[in-house]
Amino acid sequence: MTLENALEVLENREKQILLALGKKDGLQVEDIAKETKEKADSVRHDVARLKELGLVKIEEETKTIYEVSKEGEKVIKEGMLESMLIDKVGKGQVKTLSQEWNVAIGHAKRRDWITLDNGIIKLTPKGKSAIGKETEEEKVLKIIKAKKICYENDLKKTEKEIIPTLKKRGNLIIEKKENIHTAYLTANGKNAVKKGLKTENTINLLTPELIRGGDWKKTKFRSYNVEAPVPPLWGGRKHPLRHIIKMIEEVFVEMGFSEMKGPWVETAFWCMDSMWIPQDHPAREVQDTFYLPGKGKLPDKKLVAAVKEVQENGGNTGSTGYQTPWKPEIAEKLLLRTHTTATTFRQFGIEKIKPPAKMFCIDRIFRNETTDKTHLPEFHQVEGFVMDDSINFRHLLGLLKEFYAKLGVKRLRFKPYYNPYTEPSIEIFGWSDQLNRWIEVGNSGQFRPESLAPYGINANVVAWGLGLERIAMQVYELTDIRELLGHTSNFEWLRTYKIPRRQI
Amino acid sequence: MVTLDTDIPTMQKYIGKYLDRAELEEILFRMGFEIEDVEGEEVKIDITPDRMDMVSPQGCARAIAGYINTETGLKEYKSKKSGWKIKVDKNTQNKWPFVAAAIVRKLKFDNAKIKEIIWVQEKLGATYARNRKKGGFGIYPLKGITPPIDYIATDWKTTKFVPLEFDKEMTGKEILQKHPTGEKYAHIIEKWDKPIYFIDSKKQVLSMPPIINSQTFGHVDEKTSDVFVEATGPDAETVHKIMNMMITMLADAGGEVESIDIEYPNGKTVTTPDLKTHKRKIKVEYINKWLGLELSASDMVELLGRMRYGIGKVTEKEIEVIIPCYRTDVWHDVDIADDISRAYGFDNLIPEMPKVPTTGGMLDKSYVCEDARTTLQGLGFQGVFTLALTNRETQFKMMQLPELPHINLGHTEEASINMVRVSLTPELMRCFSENRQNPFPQRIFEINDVVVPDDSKDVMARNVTRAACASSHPNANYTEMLSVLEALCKTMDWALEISKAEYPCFLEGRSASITVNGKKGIIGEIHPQVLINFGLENPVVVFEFEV
Repeated sequence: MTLENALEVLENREKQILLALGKKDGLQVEDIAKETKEKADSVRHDVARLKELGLVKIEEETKTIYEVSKEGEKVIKEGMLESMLIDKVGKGQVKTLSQEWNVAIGHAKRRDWITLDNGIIKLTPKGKSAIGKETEEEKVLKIIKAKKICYENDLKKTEKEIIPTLKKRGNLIIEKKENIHTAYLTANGKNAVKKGLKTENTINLLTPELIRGGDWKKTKFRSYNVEAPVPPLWGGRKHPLRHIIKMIEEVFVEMGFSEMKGPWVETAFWCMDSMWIPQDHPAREVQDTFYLPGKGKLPDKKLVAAVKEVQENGGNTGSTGYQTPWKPEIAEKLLLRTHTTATTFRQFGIEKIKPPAKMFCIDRIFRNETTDKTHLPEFHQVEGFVMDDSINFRHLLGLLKEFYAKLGVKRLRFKPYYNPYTEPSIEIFGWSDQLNRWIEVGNSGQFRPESLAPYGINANVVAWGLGLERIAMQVYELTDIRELLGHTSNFEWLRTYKIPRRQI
Repeated sequence: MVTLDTDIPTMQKYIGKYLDRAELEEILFRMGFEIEDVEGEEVKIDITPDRMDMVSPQGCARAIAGYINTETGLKEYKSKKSGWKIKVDKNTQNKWPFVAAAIVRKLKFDNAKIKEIIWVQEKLGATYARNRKKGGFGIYPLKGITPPIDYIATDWKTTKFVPLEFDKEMTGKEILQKHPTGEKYAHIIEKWDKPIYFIDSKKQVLSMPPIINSQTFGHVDEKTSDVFVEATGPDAETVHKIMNMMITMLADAGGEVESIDIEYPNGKTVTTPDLKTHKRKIKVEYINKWLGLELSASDMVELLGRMRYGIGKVTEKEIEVIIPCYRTDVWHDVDIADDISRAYGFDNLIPEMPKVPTTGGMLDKSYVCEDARTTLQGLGFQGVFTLALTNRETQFKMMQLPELPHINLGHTEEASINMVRVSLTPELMRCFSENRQNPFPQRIFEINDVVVPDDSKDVMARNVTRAACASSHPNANYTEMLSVLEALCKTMDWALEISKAEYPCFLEGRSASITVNGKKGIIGEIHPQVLINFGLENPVVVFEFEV
């Protein structure tokens, strides 16, 4: 950055710092803060920016600091041990060698203050003159204590010579190392100061007082570094899965579908028998279905009789039926519904809806599975059906094309499939630009006459369903279903995921 | 899903036309089947459960050959009389009453073909026959068996034979206890007063259906060329169908089929295999209306031929369709319509938007829940989506709450679950627990269903929608959450009543029972011990109520 450019972006506070350094180069943050009457934290921030602008350089050095220890404080208050001793000897209170004064006697002897004569302590002339006088050690301790922070260099040469003794004599002082950052002007920085930096008295915050009193007119507001990073912020958001649900709900409603809902706990009757799933169908096995203790109640006798008949011999549908006895005790079993088609058939049997009708539901279903990256024992199914006298299989394809196009899947391919209650049945594939291949996006079919006859429905009914999580994982590019559904979702992702648009 | 494991050369041989992998895959896709996995020449084809006749390479090739016009129309299977008889004992009739049997001669077995047969036998037994519950079958080298054969219920303890893979004689009882196959299928026959055996006229035990064959008489190897095949079961239809699927496969592999007479104790004699076709008259108009097409009778005849149906009498309005003996999935005319649509090709069907005049909309309750969600989001709360299947430890014990009535799960494959949630709060606690590393404040909510027992319902339970909302950060407190609750209630125009109440999950003196729009709920600061139970260090304040 050129000097001119740098000068342009300088803020008032930064100019103040440069001026302070111009007066006295080589200042620490604290000194600058004192000089500019700013907080040390903001000065540190500003100095870092000045360094980036090439106006200031930072030199780092390690300095030694001394502090007076607890023991040192005691010496300042009471004097050195040997001083206390000669005081006592002078007053005649201590005369002979004793355990109590052993250490002090050693030190006093070394100072040549006393001699020992057959255990009797005698003061030397030097000792006599030392009584009541401060030792060099005490003086230095007091000097250190007087300074708030005492750097090694603050001490005179003679004072420095005492430091080893202070360290040796029971750690009277504490020695610390500190990294000191000192700011110096660079050549550019010096030039800037030479050119003259205009500083104005600026204000940081626009306050109600300034607005009310009209003072804002006279005020120069500090300009911000508008490109500086700011703290992250998160608010309340929809759960990512809820976004997809909303999106699909909107598509259904736009296409004239009404929402339906049904219970999570179902009887096998509504979940399977009602739609002509045979009673020995493999999907009814315990490995796939959560059976619950106890049994439920079957609907009215007439309907149960009709279901029994159509299962056993096709009733009046022209079907052969399964040719095996239908047992009510199997239909009474309670379970967690394995698909939302149970809810569709409740619409037929309980709500007794009549054509024309279009309904949908997006709700939870359950499969007795262990949890892994792609499976959870519970997930969501999207289901829609259309009932009308005029409906045929090609209409189903038309509905699917429209539905998926609205969700952003423009290219579909239909594969014949098998499903016990629809004929024909379809596996729906959608082209994924993202993956550059066909992916399965749903299942569909036209309800068999046997599945509709017990409800007196003569109209045709077409329906389709898809797994919500599978689509959502595709949209959010997730590889583990547990990131999406359940308490295992990471808040970090919930706070930052990108809002999806209608495309898969 | 059942897979057919085969390889491209085998398929080409039986189809009678060269198809590369991509062509085979495309044709199967149009027919409704997917190639799952390919390694070199080997292919795995997913066979849907309606078309178990395609689980053998021969059966699959038979269908493909029709679809691509190489060999169309009905494939008829015929049998000569063998003169063999099976006498059915009356004591079998209350257990496993139906028998079908046949002889197939001039087969050329190699290792691959033996494997193929065992494969198909296993797959049919597991799927169509529902793990042998609806029937089982066996294949034996013909050499060494002396007719007539008895299908007879004897006793558990004295009749002995050497079961497959073993080298010593065992009684029926011992087989169920000690032989792996015996143990696996014991549940089917263990309650019978007597086991059933096939015993030939030299008193040699051939097998104990539907469990296991004899090692001496029921072991096919590369030297075998003629075989005895039997199927037995509780349901005549299934027995004949699995027999037909097996026999047509062996016939397609080059075998010559001979029938056997089954003499039932009621005096009736049934000649098997029953390779008879069935007829069904379909109405051209009905099929067209079902599919949304305008096909003529002759169009349909052509399409039906490609799906290997035979054709009887045809008029402009009606076609007599002859259904092959191996098809098990034709109950109604719509099943034939489905085959017509497959032959026509889904890619060739032109999608058309129907004109069905309806207006759309959500349920009232859904609108209410969505408004409440939007409000809570606006108040800074993040929506979460927790699981309905949980455990008593989380829902009650860790919350220091007594057990409430709940839906107990029976057998679960996933060990960590044993009930359906009755409350959302413990699940929100788990969310916090999983997100301890993330920055605070953490504010979350969920409006979703729980399930409570309810004897007045046909399903003995009822879904209840609840709203739960929780805040966690170092300064989280009761006041904060009551403010949120009041803001929510004001926005939603819900009356709110608060009265002091203590709950073991909350800190004493810092909780209340609430009534929101006439429905019960709670609010409070979570008890420190509960926080510790969930491994949390920051306070949590929560409210939950029924919507």
